[in-house]
Amino acid sequence: MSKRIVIDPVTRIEGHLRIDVEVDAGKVKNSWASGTMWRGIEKILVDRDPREAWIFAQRFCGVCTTVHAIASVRAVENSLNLTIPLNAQYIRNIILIAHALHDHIVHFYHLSALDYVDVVSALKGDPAQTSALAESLSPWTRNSKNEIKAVKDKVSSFVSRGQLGIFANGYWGHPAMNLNPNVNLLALTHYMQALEFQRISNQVVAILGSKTPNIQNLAVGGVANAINLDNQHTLNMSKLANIKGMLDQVVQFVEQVYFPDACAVAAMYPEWFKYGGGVKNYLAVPDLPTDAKGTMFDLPGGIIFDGNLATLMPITSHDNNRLINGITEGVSHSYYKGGADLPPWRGETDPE
Amino acid sequence: MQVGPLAQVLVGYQANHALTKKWTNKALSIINSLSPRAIGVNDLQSTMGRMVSRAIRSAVIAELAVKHWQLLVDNIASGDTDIYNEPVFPVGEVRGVGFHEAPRGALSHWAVIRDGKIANYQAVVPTTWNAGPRDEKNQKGPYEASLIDNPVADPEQPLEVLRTVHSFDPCLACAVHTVDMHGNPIATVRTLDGQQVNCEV
Repeated sequence: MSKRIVIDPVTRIEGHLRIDVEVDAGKVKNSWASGTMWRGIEKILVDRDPREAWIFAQRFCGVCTTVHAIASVRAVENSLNLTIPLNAQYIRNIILIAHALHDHIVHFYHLSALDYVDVVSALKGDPAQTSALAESLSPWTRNSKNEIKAVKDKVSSFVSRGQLGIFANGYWGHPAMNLNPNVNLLALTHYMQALEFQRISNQVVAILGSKTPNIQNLAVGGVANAINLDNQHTLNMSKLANIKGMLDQVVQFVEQVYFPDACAVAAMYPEWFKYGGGVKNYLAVPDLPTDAKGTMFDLPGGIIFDGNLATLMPITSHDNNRLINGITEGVSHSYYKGGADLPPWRGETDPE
Repeated sequence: MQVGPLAQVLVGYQANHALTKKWTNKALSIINSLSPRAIGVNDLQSTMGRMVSRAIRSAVIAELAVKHWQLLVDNIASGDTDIYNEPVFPVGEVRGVGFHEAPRGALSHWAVIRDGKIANYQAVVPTTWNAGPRDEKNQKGPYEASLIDNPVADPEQPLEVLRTVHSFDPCLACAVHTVDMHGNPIATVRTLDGQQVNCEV
């Protein structure tokens, strides 16, 4: 006998998502995903000056604002074949990376780790044993018994007062949770530390972008970060050194904490490498341009079909024909009006 | 199409991108030193693979952050302080597309500009690729397809469904909720077609 489960809204994500699944004999047999909100920013942009489109476009999202600002200025620059100065390219790239690191750290620790880490079990962990385990996995200097005990005491005091706060409504004690209390306590400690390092990464975005979310420093044609090494009000060596210091801290956190934690959690739930494959056609676009024209990139793009890596078709340019002519938007199962699939330049955004 | 860090890692790995290879091999070696089951690069095409790929991508771009900081400093040191080239919009129609490999995957903005004003604007965002439901041929989207055959131990606590959905890092249109504890209307707004609507939640 199958049972329909509705999760609406899905939490610990950005925005509104509804998932329906039909479960039979302990397995999902059918599933439906629905986006239940509409913003209409495409409509708001019509008839506006293209030089200000990015300011509106970054309001597509409340978290990944920066990415829409960048995609928007790139679209308008592409329409004019406009080259931007090298400094602008690099400043944009540093912002993009800092934003992405903030975003990935938040996703792992604060949005998804609690699907695998049991906070209530963590409170049974032993700080000395947890510290010994942590020091065997990573040279990170903040895995001491005292640091771990402080986190345990802090969360224990929430729980003893009946105030789980951000940890309320988790599936604690679920049979699919299988980390031991010490591993849970280590993950909980890094969850707390990750709050600091996602903030530092986002500070880099704020220093170069004037604020975050919704950066203010872009322009169609470049950036608005005046550079004068002798002026304390512009981008100068002292600000650049400050940014470097922050990046170094975030890099260290990624390499010594996030990366080994993600690998360790994966190793302790190996059955989850068997589930969730789904659609195995993949698309990535090249990014982090290293020249002013945006023709050389530090991150490669490509298309892979049917989960077979040997089918890779590299994409080395944003002018790639397959990209430009292969993408269409379909509305057959949406809440939008319209008929056949349309290429985005002729796309329509009319809600039913 | 599925987009996101997994797509980027698979593409980079197959293309022999040095940083992607280095961090993917490092991840697989840590996992295999702790896991009872051997895990290879093809096993990344899974719920846990998306989680690990995001960490691999983070390590790759963390190294590139330092590189691009140095490129900026060196370029300024060479005497270049340019930051802006002025755009000039022609009379008539031009169109452009801006691509970006965002944290959740391939993003594109498409603009049609007529006489210096926007005539059409479309965004094709990563979560539309991944969360988009069945297409015109009734094929499931990546979220939907990835959930098939997922275990669910307790239908009242569908934790396993969340594991797979969260592995994509969903990002959809967001909102702020205000709720009156007693269910009373909080405000009245007028919609574009003139209706009065009470806002309860």
